[in-house]
Amino acid sequence: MSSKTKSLYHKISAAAQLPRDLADGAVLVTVTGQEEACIENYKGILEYTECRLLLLAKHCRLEVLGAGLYISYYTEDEMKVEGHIEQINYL
Amino acid sequence: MVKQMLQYARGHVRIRVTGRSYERFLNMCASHRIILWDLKACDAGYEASLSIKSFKNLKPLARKSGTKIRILEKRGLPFFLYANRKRKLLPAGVLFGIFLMLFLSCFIWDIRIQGNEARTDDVVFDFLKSRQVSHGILKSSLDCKALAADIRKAFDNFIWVSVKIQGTSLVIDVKENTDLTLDEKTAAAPSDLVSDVEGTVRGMITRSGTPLVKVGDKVKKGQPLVVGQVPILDDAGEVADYQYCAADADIEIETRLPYQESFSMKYIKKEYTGRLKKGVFFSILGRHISFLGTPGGFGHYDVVRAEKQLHLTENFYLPLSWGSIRSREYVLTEKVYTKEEAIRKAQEFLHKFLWKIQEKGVQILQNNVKIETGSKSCTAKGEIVLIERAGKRVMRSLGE
Repeated sequence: MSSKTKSLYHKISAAAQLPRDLADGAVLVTVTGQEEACIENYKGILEYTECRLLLLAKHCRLEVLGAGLYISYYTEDEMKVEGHIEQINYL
Repeated sequence: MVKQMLQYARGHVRIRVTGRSYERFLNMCASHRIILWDLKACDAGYEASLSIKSFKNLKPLARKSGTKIRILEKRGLPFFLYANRKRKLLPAGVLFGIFLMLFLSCFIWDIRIQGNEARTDDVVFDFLKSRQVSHGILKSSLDCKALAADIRKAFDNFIWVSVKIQGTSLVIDVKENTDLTLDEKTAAAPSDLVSDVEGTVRGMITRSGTPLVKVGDKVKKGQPLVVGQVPILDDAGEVADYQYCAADADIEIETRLPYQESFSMKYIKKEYTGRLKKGVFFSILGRHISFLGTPGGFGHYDVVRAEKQLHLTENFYLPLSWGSIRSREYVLTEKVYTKEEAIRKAQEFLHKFLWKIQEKGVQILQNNVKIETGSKSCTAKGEIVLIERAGKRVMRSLGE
């Protein structure tokens, strides 16, 4: 997609008030307290250890740092991470 | 909970994934729509749970990603059944259980009566018993419509009855007639009001008909109070005709009610000795089996049973109940009331009596009851002055 087409696409989706996760494929992170995070719209797992989870999203990489990280379920569209979450970084 | 039950019913395996690129393996699982749960990083790889169906599709993915898969644990009903495949009695027991449940669900194990106030449950149960409707009756032998009609016929004040079967329960909903006003048919027919008590008229409001008595008049039982005919006068002031109607009036009559109550000064008192025996009982298909509760050696005793009936759902009652039995021993001793106790007891009787007559809607004007105690008996005697609503409807034929 050229930059001109991309800007037009952004303008249309903004005018239609489409949510960014649908229009742009932006990663959606829902954090509940410090113990639970629900992540949607990712491409895949790049790295997963007990203290680090690195995910590939459409426009960035999402890093979840913490201790005892544990994926309670994992599907193509959505995953739920439980454990002690200390940081969430966009790389 | 439901999710876990489904997972158990379908069966799942816990696997350990080790190898070179297990992240790739995870991504491939996601892209092949293989759902993993309880994914945990461990020393040399990952541990995850997945369904049996998904596990069967894992082999090509593991080969592509160069990982090794090891089954750590097999959980769920399919594995349990496979492990116990040689135990023939297990499925036979399960089948027997299902058959028993289906068989027992053909009967009524619970009867509920709702909406009755004036007629107690016991009265309705006695009636049902006389119609051979009781616990344990076959559902197919019940004709709900006919039973509802029978109940309506047997109880006058039930204006609406619904009988339905819910699971193994027979639910009888009734609506009682609390409105004491005349029904349309009676109200329309010409009728008189006659006195059903003896006394002095203290208040009278006539709504329809011609009053024959006035306030202050003394009336006897059966005397007409209001007649259901209104004279129509002509221009000369003479009676030209009569218009017939249902007499309607509020008539308050002062009556005197004699009261006498006496009881012996001697009485037998129940005194608990403190000896108690506890036990349990089971009841299967109406047969009771009790343990330890039988009070051998007790002279007189009270038995208190707390019973619980087994039910699978709110309405599915099974013929199996259990509970506890408590037997308390007591001795009967003869005692004599003191003067104060006797007066208190006589007053209690009187209050109960007054409360009972007040429930019928009468007002108490005077209470002239005197209590006398003697060595042998205590007597409460006197007269109670009441104001009560009078007027018994008597149908009349035209021209009477």
